[in-house]
Amino acid sequence: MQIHLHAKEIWRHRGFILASVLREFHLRYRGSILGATWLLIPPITMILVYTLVFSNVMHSRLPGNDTPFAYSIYLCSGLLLWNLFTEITQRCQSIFIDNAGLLKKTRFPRLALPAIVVISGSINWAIITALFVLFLAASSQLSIAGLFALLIGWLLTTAIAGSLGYALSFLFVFFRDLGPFLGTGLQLLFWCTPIVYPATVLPEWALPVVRANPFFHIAGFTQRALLEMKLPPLSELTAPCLWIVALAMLATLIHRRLQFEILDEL
Amino acid sequence: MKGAISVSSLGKCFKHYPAPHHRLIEWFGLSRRPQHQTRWVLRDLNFRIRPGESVGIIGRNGAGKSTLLKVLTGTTKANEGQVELEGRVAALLELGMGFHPDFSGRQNVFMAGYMLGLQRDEIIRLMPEIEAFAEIGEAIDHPVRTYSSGMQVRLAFSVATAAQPDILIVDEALSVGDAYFQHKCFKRIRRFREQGVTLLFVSHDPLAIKSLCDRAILIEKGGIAMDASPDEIFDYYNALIALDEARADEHGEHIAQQGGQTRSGTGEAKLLDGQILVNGQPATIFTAGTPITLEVDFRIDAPLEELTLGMMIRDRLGNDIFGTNTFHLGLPLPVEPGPTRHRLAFRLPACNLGPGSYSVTLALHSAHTHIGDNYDWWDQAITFQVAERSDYHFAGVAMLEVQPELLTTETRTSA
Repeated sequence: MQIHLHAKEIWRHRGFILASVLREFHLRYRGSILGATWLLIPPITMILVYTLVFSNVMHSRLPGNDTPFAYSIYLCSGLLLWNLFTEITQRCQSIFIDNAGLLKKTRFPRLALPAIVVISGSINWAIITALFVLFLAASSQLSIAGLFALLIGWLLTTAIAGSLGYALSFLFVFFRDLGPFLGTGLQLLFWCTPIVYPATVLPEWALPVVRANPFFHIAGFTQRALLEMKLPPLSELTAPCLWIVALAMLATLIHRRLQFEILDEL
Repeated sequence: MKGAISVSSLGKCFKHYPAPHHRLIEWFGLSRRPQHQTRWVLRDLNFRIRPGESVGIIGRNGAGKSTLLKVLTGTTKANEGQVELEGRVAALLELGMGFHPDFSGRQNVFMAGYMLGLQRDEIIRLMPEIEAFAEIGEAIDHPVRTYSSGMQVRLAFSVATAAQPDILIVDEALSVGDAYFQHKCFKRIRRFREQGVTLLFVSHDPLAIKSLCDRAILIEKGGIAMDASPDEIFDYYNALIALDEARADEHGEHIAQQGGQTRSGTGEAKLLDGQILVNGQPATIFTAGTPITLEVDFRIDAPLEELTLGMMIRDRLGNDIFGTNTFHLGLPLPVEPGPTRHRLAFRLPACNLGPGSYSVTLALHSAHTHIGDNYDWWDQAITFQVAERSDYHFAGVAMLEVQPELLTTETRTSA
């Protein structure tokens, strides 16, 4: 009953959500000469730098894979998803603080705010990923399995980031410690995830720790699918899916408990 | 039924935690004692408003009006009781919320419309009307940052009232720019009212409520003190304010002293108090033409050669409306110093001022004008409001008596 009411309210405010997303992109490049081209330049630079520096200069090679672009593909695919994850989590966390004025003065569905963040983060990601796909095609590493894995990676990452960020957003209103806490936590999590290094370099004892990290599975799944050009067993995604269910339940619980209390605190 | 409002046993409290970690202690049940202090802002409110009624909510600052407003508009949630508003609600609380300075007026109209839950085609349909009402011409396509604050408010008001609501909630604190536009806004609000829109008007100004509403609810200390016709509320409210002033006097701080008025003088004589009485009771609001008495208390602290007490009534813009003094009125005042509290009464058989708010400046000086020695000068010592009469309508600050007579002359046809 609750959920369908929320969905209805969100649908009624779809114009607001889409206009906010557009406004955000508009604002980001307003007053710049190159305009939307700036969306493309950083990712191109990222792909080029990683390919040149790691593959050609440092001669980094993935164990068991000798193609020159393998490491670059490994690194870029991991980073793409990681950046999507941090962007959504961090921006979601402060949505209530950032929109305090709006929330206090007008009535609109709270869920519209994370929706705006998730949509604009996803558009960003899609643009960068499109370039990455071109790069994959150029290095003849493009496969249906790879594309499918990217899509799955996107879906799971936004789901985790969205529910985690939304759950934190309520708590952040009361406890400002969460800001620096999240920043530090994300940094730790980044180095606990095989993105820069391959999982095979990890010592035996560290594996169970890293396995508890849902992002380990999501990134690993996408990275392997792209490199091996075939889908790894879907059972590898069980852990992240459980995480998503748990986080979504937590977010719902917190939403129910605190949705009105935050208004008195903003 | 659309347009109905029903509030039953409504209560709203705020929790105050001494520090953030007290909240954690409470959430995780680490302590048996509650970690917060609860402050009830509204308690046990009950009222029902029928569709098409126009009701004023009145109360002093801090009585709980704004909180009630927030609960009604859904920007905060009640802790107890039920609130039901049926139909589409438009609230004119904060105009121009969500306006972004870098986007054009038109783009911002779309955004504001979306926030109200309108769809694109509805906004396109309403756009000509919005543009026409705002009267900002070509500026609609310029960035909002180039707008004057008046233009922004015009546009915001136009959007907020473009689609006819079932319930309109207006906060009087709303300032809608220049007098011309203000008039236009109230005209639109009145039109809504005639078309059967339920109107809820929140104010601390009984005059505004009287002119717009046929029922008023007085909120006092978080509860309903009275629910009656605006006229009845009027007298009660007066009494409340008078009580307030009396209390402030006990603490030695006259209420008017908190305003931005000036007090100057050499101090040989001192103004102690000033108030307006209607029927022997202190009053700050009365209808035009009411007999009033202006009482001024003063004391003489040093021997004087002559003493004059003057008063000047000013309108809210500071224009002199009427002034006189004891010298011109031919009443000599005592000049011997002493602890005696003298009281002077200016009796006005009819205070023939037009509706509006006024202030009284009092002065003790030596000569017949205050150019001589100025002993004590007290700007805005008293403020009061004059209400419109129901039996005599006129415009302006002076209530003159007029006898109309139709003198028809014969039309001369040139032959």
